[in-house]
This record gives sequence, structure tokens and C-alpha cells, in this order.
Amino acid sequence: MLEKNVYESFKKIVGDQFISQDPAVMDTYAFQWCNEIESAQRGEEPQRFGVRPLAVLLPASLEEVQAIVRLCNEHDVTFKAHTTGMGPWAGVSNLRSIQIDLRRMNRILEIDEKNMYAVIEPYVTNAELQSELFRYGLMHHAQGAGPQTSPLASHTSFVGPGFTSPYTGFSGRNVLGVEWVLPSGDILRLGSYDYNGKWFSGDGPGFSLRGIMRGWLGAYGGLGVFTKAAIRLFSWPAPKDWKWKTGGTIPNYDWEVPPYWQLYVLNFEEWEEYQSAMYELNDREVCMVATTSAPEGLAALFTNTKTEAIEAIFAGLLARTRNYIVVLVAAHTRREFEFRAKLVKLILEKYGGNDLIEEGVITPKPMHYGETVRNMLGAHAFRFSNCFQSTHGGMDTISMAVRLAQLNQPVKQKYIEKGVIGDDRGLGVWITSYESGHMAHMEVPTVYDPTSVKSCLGYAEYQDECNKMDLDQALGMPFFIVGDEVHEFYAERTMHYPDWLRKIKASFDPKGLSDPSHYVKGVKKDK
Amino acid sequence: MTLSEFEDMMDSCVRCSKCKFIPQLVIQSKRFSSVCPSVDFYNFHAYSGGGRMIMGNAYQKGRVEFTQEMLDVLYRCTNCGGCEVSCKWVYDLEPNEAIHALRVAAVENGAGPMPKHRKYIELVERMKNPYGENPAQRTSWLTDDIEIDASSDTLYFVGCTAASRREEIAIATAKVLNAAKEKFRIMGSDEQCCGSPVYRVGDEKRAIQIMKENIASFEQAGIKRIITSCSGCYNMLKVEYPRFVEHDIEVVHTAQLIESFLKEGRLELVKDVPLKVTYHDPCHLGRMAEPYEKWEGEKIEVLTLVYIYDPPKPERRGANGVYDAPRNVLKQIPGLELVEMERIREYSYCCGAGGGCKSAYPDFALTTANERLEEAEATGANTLVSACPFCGTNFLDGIENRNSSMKYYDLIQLVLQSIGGEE
Amino acid sequence: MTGIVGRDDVSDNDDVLSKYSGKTIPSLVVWPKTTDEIARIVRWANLKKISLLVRSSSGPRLRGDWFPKVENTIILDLSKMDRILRIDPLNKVVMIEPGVTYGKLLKELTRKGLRPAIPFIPEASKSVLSACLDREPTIMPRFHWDSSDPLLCTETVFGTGDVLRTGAAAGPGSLEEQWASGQAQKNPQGPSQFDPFRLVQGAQGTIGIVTWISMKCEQLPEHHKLYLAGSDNLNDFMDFNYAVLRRRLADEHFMLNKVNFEAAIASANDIPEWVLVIGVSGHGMIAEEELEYRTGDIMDIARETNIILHDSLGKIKGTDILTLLNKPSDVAYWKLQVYGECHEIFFLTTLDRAKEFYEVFQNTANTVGFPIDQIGAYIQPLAQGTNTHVGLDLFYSPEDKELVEKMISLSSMGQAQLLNRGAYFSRPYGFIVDAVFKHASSSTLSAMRRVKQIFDPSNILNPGALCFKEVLQ
Repeated sequence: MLEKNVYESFKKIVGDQFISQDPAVMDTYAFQWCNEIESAQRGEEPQRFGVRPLAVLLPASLEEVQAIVRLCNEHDVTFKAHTTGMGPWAGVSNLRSIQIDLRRMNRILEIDEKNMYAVIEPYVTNAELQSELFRYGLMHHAQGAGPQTSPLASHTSFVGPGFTSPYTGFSGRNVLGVEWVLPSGDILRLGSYDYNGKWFSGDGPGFSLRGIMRGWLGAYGGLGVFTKAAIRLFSWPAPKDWKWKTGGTIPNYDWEVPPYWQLYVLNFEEWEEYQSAMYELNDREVCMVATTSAPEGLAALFTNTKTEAIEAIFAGLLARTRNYIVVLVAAHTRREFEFRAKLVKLILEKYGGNDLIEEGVITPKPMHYGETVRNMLGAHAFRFSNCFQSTHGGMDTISMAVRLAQLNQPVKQKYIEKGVIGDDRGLGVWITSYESGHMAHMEVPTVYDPTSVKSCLGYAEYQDECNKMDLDQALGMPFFIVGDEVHEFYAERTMHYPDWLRKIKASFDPKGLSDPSHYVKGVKKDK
Repeated sequence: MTLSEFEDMMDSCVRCSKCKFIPQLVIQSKRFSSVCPSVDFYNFHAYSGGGRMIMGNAYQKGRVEFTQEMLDVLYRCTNCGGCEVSCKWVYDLEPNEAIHALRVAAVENGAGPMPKHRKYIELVERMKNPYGENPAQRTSWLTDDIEIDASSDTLYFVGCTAASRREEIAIATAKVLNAAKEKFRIMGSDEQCCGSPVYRVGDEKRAIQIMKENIASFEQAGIKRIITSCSGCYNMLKVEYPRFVEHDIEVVHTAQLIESFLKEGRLELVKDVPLKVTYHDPCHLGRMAEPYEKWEGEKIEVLTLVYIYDPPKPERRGANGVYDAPRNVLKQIPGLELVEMERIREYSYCCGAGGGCKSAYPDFALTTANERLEEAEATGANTLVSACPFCGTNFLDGIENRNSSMKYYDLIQLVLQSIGGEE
Repeated sequence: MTGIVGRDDVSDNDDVLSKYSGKTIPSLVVWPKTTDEIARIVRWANLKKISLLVRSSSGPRLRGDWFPKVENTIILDLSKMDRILRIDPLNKVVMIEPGVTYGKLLKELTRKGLRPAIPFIPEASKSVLSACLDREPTIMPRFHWDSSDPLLCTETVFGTGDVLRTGAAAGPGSLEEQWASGQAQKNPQGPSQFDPFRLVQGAQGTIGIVTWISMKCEQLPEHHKLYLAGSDNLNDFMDFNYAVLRRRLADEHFMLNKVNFEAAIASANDIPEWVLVIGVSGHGMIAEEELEYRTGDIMDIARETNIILHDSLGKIKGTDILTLLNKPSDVAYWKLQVYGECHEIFFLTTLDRAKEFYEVFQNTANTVGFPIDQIGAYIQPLAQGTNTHVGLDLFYSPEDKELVEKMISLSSMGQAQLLNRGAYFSRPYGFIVDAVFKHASSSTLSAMRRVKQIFDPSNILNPGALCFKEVLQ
């Protein structure tokens, strides 16, 4: 427990309604998805309860966050910031640690329609922001974790792929000004925001401090607390008077598809044709969405329940599905739409593919269009067994994504045959491209049973083999870096980058107070 | 099911926070995106459906014991089921059931329920109602012009709140039934609480006792059909009772009944009711109103680690609640305009009264009512309509508290008005 | 130095040194040819506490700043590292060394069907790599996704002498292994949880020495047209600009004032005060239809926003301008052809404030007596329209001492005025540097100094630049 005087000091900052140290309440922060893999690896019963924070605080403002961090400095308490919290990186790892739950900081501060950026606080969710942007004819990049998660968390701290990535890019590349409480308690404002209170640039003067902020992956909460961020926005291809309207009853809702929208599932017999089509489609900027999953995944994407997905699988969808691209063409004008639709067809023909929607192999409903742009499709994978996680994650080119998918298939198949992970014949992938095909990433969603020791250990072993594959065969780095040990695993073949990370950590967090569970611990200091 | 039977399920929570919001696809604005009044008011993750499920898991694993704060977290929840609707979009999990199971465990442990709950449970035992009203006065709402047929096998189960707090609903119901020439009887001073306030706070033992007693007295009275104007009673009689006590009594809510009366021409809505209304779906008439069908079968692994149930398990996700009947009735009332709030049907935002909250946490209940009233006001409607006296009480308190110009009516009152029954 | 690079690549000849001199004369000029040589030099410099200043371009210095600020500086001239290392048309990327100029690059890329993101008619000997490192604005905002574009991965020698490949180039694996697995050093971010490339970019050589970069390219279009519009009021273009930027319809997209239009492109009668330049293209299958639809939608927007687009301005044809835009300036840089010298001032803002700042600067010019018809302006939307570069070019004759004084006054006073009104000098040079860092908060300065301390703890890389004043004190 925290010393009484320390707890009281924290209480003074946020008020007694907004602090707790009750064990049951603490356990709701200790419990995180994927902790069971780590506990199984430690030889324990797999379970999602990780380390309990000593207290949870709910600040309402930058000033309160700063005061909390300063108090942590005074009393050597580590801290981890947290928004909706989905995954072990959201939890604490040090025993003397508090959780800073940013739920009360949930305002949309500014939407600059002309210059296309929004300024948000941590607990604004993707669906909330998206629904407020429509009236401006705008949208943002929402990460694949889903509409109920935080775009600020994604943009400042955690990776950032998403289903609309051909059109909206990657979170780490869409960040402008940021307000950031450093582990010391100092407030750092990036770019033009520091300068003139305007958010339009996150860089300079001189070099960009975005360089220490996040990298490709984000610091996963290990380098302070972000309290505001400006993120880039994009045009929403629908008439300004179009409204997001649903009807019907769960799970079969209606949704009004805007004019000039069309979904395709472009299916190719071989990876080679798939790859060529992926390159060409994306280069021509015709897609808002261009994404690939397994055939089993396709069954899940455009159905509404587990039963429907399984029925689709057993109705022969697998036999008709090979390497496919789910494409959403979403155009602003008829002219734009006609051009894009024509080009999609031509590309399909050029590479000898077939459209599975046209052939009735899968029939998305209007609501699936809505789910696609609301970044809900990733969650469909949970329908199979309530649980999946991804191995790999490397991001560079479409070619690498394809190569990784090809190389991974036999490896995954091995573990499928052991009965420890879900069976997608090793074909399960998530490939999505970025910024008109300039980049792509590939991760391998893998179904496992979180309540089974065998499955958790099996998944962990499979993940280790995937990591080794990435390392040995130069297939990029995966998303899920769990602290120093995993960094060390990659260090030698990746130019010893952790050495620099540790120096940054040591410099900006000399007392090591920003919980480093999924970051680095800093340079060891001589006593 | 018990906490122990739910352990695997509780272990499977992804802690994704979907339970805090209405199903993501139906979110239309930031303002009205949430579904859980509890986490909205109290903010810690523990206050969400998933959060309580984690607490239940922690208790089950012996990681925690009941503390005052844990009990407050547990009971500052109307058990409205909103979390479960959102969760089931993606997962095969039942957070709302887990919350109930944790409450049952708290009562079994002696830690729960809260003092105010204990008090009213004691009143239920002594006086057959949680308000402590004299049972002999149970029928004091009756007016001279209401006809009762003591030999009918249709029972109008008035319910404690309509009988002693929202008498206008009881009166209106009786008069509408009379107008439709639907014969009914009442239990009179023998009417005992349906058990909802007892059951919802986890005193399952006593609640089951009440259920058994009630079913026995209904059967003894030869009752074949029960009409209720209270959503809470509806849910108990239709959904919870069959889980513990077998019966084959038909249960129908006045909203459903009126809809059929209108179809059959047994009622005519002749008088204008010039109101712009918005309709609040009571949780217990909506998402919680799907029966919990008994299922027996096998779990079959169809793909590695992917199971289906044989025969298929009913997917109880709130889709089959009573949503259309009240709306169909409202749309037929001349002069009345119906506008919808953003959070409706299976993702309606709870009024804040249920689950023992009105007694034990009146501030929370009132704040929640205020939140819902703000949403109602945002539609431009001047009247809020619902179909539950308990929701009604809380909304009326809320209207007073916020000095709102909003009117509140129960659906049955508007029907009575429109059939000219108020003259 | 001769031990590291060989005798032929070191010079202390006065004529040579004078080319790299400002107030301070360097001690040596060295031309390294490999990363290894540079790393060895940097390690040596750390031991000896000798400062290094990197140059990759020959040619004029128009920002007033790229000279040694301390005694005994060694210039590392990387212009002999001038290889194009790899062109990957499929992945639209090129890998280049510091000495590659735009002329050379454009030629090679054209052969492979690619085009780079290019600044507005750059100087012929301008190093492409150093333009990318300087976040130099490029003329096609649609392809400018992040402020750092088109810079992708780098190989950098930090001030410690350590070498790091940044972005996906860091690995795992060697470059050859990465190519074998289908990679092309496209992801600039990382490795892992930091972005070292962002620390080097914009650092004006104070953090690391970059020995190669990978750079984003686009496909060369088969059909490419250029349209022009004119107005006396810059803000007349605003609605049109915002609408076109939002739709990502155009390629080239920027504005020039009359002075710069005439200086860079051509003189004519009746050039309006402001010229809007819009390029549209189509490439690949049904390229012509792509051009048609883009043009059609742009024309609709033009109609809705009262802009009339022409394919020529008098005798000046759009196609000719397009040719100019796709090659570097002739041997004599266009900025120097006007009056002989030019002083550049630039800052970031949003498009809706460009006019305001332009007028503030003009007012200051009037106050100090610098002729406003010798001030060129270049307004370049960036990051797909999120922010805008405003470039002001002060043309003057170096022989006109009085005018030089006025130019100096204008630069100093004018930039101060702009700064006070919120112009963001994200790439500060010359007179404005000190004011910029005085204006910055202490947290920003502290953070920058910590970064410097990590990557160049001995402060040997271009000391005195940006906020790293310690050595000068």
C-alpha cells in the first residue's frame, strides 16, 4: 500500500471521489488481455491479472496530471497513463506504481475544418470523434483496435494501423502539436503549439521532438503522459447533409450508405497476382480501404454473429477464397466514382481475379460499410473464441507483407496441428496498405484459448518462433515488444537501437518513474 | 449460474471498454455515446460491466474480499444490461449476468446487500411491498367506475409502485382494460411484490421464495394470463421467474396488449393528444425482456478452439425486447408526434432507478435521470413517455430537480386520454 | 584527416577554405567518400574536441547561416558521395548519397518512370539529401503526407561516431537481407519506439551526419497539364485551394507573387499580383481518364469558388512551366538572376493567414525602405493542406550598400514582427534564430539540449547552431 501521507497527498490533488486504492477496484486495472500469455510463460496458471497498482487516480486537467507526476517524483512512485485500456501495455509493472486514468479528460477541444486537424483530449474515442467530424465533411484515422479506443493514445503512444489506412495513413504520421507531461513533471508542448498556441505543426523549431515521442511503435506509456494532441483529418466522401443513421435491431442494423461507395472483394489465385493488384490499386489512390485477411477472416468480416461466420465457412466460402483484397471505393463525386470503379475492374481483369461479392460468395450488407469505416471489422475476429492476438507486425512494403504471409503459413500450420491455436490453415493475416500503397504492414491474428494453459503456452511458443523468424529472415519488427528483454533479442541485428532508447529514457526519466513495462528501463546507473 | 460457473467466461473479458458505450455502429454523437450510467457517473473502470466482471473474477479467485468500496461499486449499478448488449456484439460473454452472480455471492457472504436494501427487503417480507405501505391499502387506487371481474383468469398484476406511488398508471390501466372490454381481476391486498427489488440486489434465496409464493397464489387463483403495466414486474414474471419456478402463465405488458387491442379494433383512439413526445425504452421491457431459455446440449469444436452449441444456444442479446409495440401505439395517437432519442431500443440509456439504486444511491439515480432527460430535451420533444412506473417516478423526480418544462406520461395515460377516458 | 580519407581529399588551401567561410574561416575541408571514413572522423573529432560542419551542396547560401561559428572547424564536404544507390520503381523509392543533385536525380528517375517530390525550381547543385533533411517544402502537397516527407530512412553517423540506420532500414538484418525479403526502406519510423530520423531532420547538422537516405517518389505521369489563375488578392484563391487540397486532386499546387513568378518563370505584361499554379496528371491504365476526372472535379470546384483556370498566362504556356518545374534551375540559380543576390526568409503558418503575414512584411519593408517589388513570395501548402510554407525572397544587388543595410533591417525587423504575430519559424536561420529560441519554452529548450547531449555529447557537430550556444559562450 502507499503510505498514508502519500495517498492523502494524491487525494488532495484530485479530490476523494477520484482516487481509489480498493483492491477490487485495483484489480480492474491489473486485469489485461494477453497477460495470460505472460503468466503461462512464467509457469503460472494463465490469468489476466497482472500487477495491481497501488492507487488509481482520475485527474480532470493538465494541472492535476502535472501535480500527480510531480508528487510521484517526490515520493518515488511510478505511474502509467491509461485511457480505455486494452492490453498489457496499459497496465503497470512496478509494484510501487499508480495508474493515471484519463477518463475525465475527454473533450474535443478544436476542429479546424479548413486546415483539417482536430485537437483532442485522451478519452475521446474514435467513434465519438468520427461522429462529430461528419458535419464538417471530415474523418480521422482510427486505429484497428476499434471505435471504442482512444485516437490520442494511438497517435501519441501506440502503433496505429487501421482499416482506412490507404486513405488516412498511420497514426504516428498524423500527429501535429502535442501537450505532454514528461516524467519529471515538466510540460512539453511540441511544435507550433509551444510557439503560438496553434496546433498545425508538431515539428521544430529545428529538429522534431516527435523523434523522442514515439517512433514506429510508440512508447506504450513509458515516457510520461499525453494530455492533448492535434491529429490530421481527411475528407469524408459523403454529401455534407448525409447523416450517420442506423435502423433495425442488433445485430442486424441498417445503415445508409453514402452515394458513390462500393465494396469489392478482389480474389486472386496466387500471391503474385494479389501482390501486383495490391500495388497497382493503391498507387492509383482509388481505395479508402484495401485490406486482406484469411478466408476464414472474410467469413467473419461480413457476417454478424459467430454462427453466421461458421455457416459461411462451411457453406463453401473457403473453397472459393484465396488471396483477396477487400476494397472500399468511396468517392466524392460521380465522376470520381466512375473512374475508380472502372479502374478497379480493369485491375481485377488484368491480374485474372474475380470479385467474390459480385459472385455472391459473400454479401456484405449496408451495415458492413458502416462497420468498415468505423473500424469495427478487426473486432469480428473475437467472435470465434473471444480471443485472439497477433504475431509479427512488420511494416515496410507490400512485397514484404506478402513474403511474410507466405513464410509464416507453414510455421502457423505447425502450431495449428498441435491444437494450440485456431485453425485458419495458416492463412490468417491482416495486411493493410498505407498512404496510397507506399507502405504496408502484415500481422497474423491468431485465435487462442485464454483459459487453457496448453493454448496460452502454445501461442507463446508460436509467437517466439515468429519473432525469431522476423529476426533471422529480416522481416521487420513485430508490434508486441515487452520491455527490455525483447528489445535485447532484436538489438544485435537491428543496430543496437535499444542503447539509444535507453539513453532517451535515462535522460527524460532519470528516476525511472514512467512505468517501463513495454518500453525500456533506461541506462543502468553506477551507484 | 454462479460466479464459479462463470469463471472461464470472466477470464475471457478482453477489457476492451465496449461495455461503456452503446454498440459502436449506432453512435451518432459524442454526447450520447455511452450506455452505462454507472461508469459515466463514477468513472473508475470497476464501474463498467466489464469492470464488475473482473471484480467478480477477483472475488472468485480469492484475490479480494468484500469491502465497503467494493460493495458500493457493485451496487451503484442498475443492472440494466446495456453493457451486455454492447459486449455481445462481439463476444460470447454475459457481464450483466456476472454482476448479478456477484451480488448473489455478496448476499451469501453476508456483506450485501446495502442497508437500504436490507430495510426494504424486510418490508417486503412483512408488508408485501418495499415501500412499507399497509397491504390493506393496496387497492386504494381503485375508483368507483372501474370494473373488476373477480372470476376472470386474467390477472392485472398492479405492482407495488403503480399501486402506491404511481396510482395514475394503475387507474389508467384499469380504465383502458375496461374500455377494451378486457375482463380482469386483481389480487387486491393479497398482491405481493413481484420480488424484483429483492432479486436485483442479489437476495436470490428470498426472491425465489417470493416467486414460489406468488406462482402458488396465481395458480391457486386459476390465473392463466397476467397483464402488467410495470416493466420491472414484466421482466420478473416473464424472464426471471421461469429460471427458478416453472409456470405456464402467459405474461403480457400493457404496451403489447394495447397494440393488439388497436389491431383488433377493440379500442379507438379518437381524441387528439397534441404532444411532441420521445419514448424511453425501459430496460426491463426492452433488452432485459428476452426470456432466458433453458438450453441443454453440447459444445462442439467445429474448428480448433472454435465451438458451437448443438442445438444452437439462443442468442439472448436484447434484440427481441418489446420495442415496436409502444411505438406503434404512440404513432396511432392522433395529434401526437413521436421523435426518437439517439439511445433507443436495445441500447436505451437506463433511467437510473433500478437494481436497488433509487433506494441506496438516490443521487446517482437522480443524476442518471437528468442525463436521460437532457437527451430527451435535445430531441425537441416536450414530453417524455415510457412504460414503467419506476422509470416514471425517477423521471418525475428528475424533471422537478432540473426544473424542466418536460412533461412525463406513461404510455397508458396517453392511451386513456386518446380514448376519451379521462372525461 | 589524410590518414583517414587520403591526401587528395583534404585541403587547407586558402582559396578552397574561402568558399566555406563566413565570419570564421574553417581550418580544413575534407571530402570523405564512405560512411566508415565519416565515422572515423567523428570519433577523432570527439577525442580532439574539434567541431565539424557538413556541407553537401556547392552553390549559393541564401539563408545566411551555413558557415562555421567556431574556430578550427573542419568542413566535411560530402559532395563526392554522389551515388544513386538504388532505384526501386515498384516501391517508388530511391536511395541516394549526399552529393546527388536534383539534376542528376531527375534524369535517372525519369528513366525508371519515377518522379521525386521536388522543391520549387531548386538550384542545380543543391543536394537532394540536404533538402530532404532540411524539410524543404515540395510542390506537390497531395503526396506530402507527413511533414518529414519525402525523407524516409537514413544512415546516420551521430556526433558520438556511432552509426545507425534509421527507420525500417535499421533491421533486423542487413540492407541486402532486407531487400531479399522484399523490403525497400520505406517506413521511416523507428526502429521501434523512437524516430531518430526526426531528430536529424531539421537539426542543421547538429545531431548527426547523414550518409544516405531513402526518398519517396511517385510514378511519372503519362498525361500532365498545368493550369494557372490570377488575382490581385491572395485570399481569392483560398476557398478553391482548401477545396482542392481536401480532395487530393492536384499534383503541383502553390502560389507565387508577381515578383517571384517573373523571376522564376517568365516576365510578361499583365502578370497579376498573385498567380496560382495547379498541376493535374494521370498515369498508368486509363491515365487519360484519370486526368479527365481530376480536371473535371477541379474545374467544378473552380466554378463554385469563382476561380477561372487557364492553361496559359498570355504567351506563357502551362506546359512550359511544367517543364521548368521538373528540372532544377539553370546553372545560374533563378534567385540570383534577378539582382545578383537573394536573402531567403520562410516560416510556417496556415493557408488562411498567409496573406496577413505577407502584408505585415510588406508594411515593414515600406517602413525600412526596402522596395516591395524586390520581394518575391512563394506560398506552398504542405502536409496535404494542414500547414503552409510562406517563403519571402529579398532580391538585392550586393553592390548597393544602402540597400544591403535595408535588407538586413528588413530581415531582422520583419521576421521579428512575423514571429510576434504567430508566424512559426520551424526551420530558423540567420537573424531569427535567437529570437525563435528565446520565444520557445524552457521545456522545449531543455528537451532539445537533452537530445543533443545524447547524440552529440561533445558538441562537435555544428556548434552554435539552433539553440546549442554553449560553445560560443
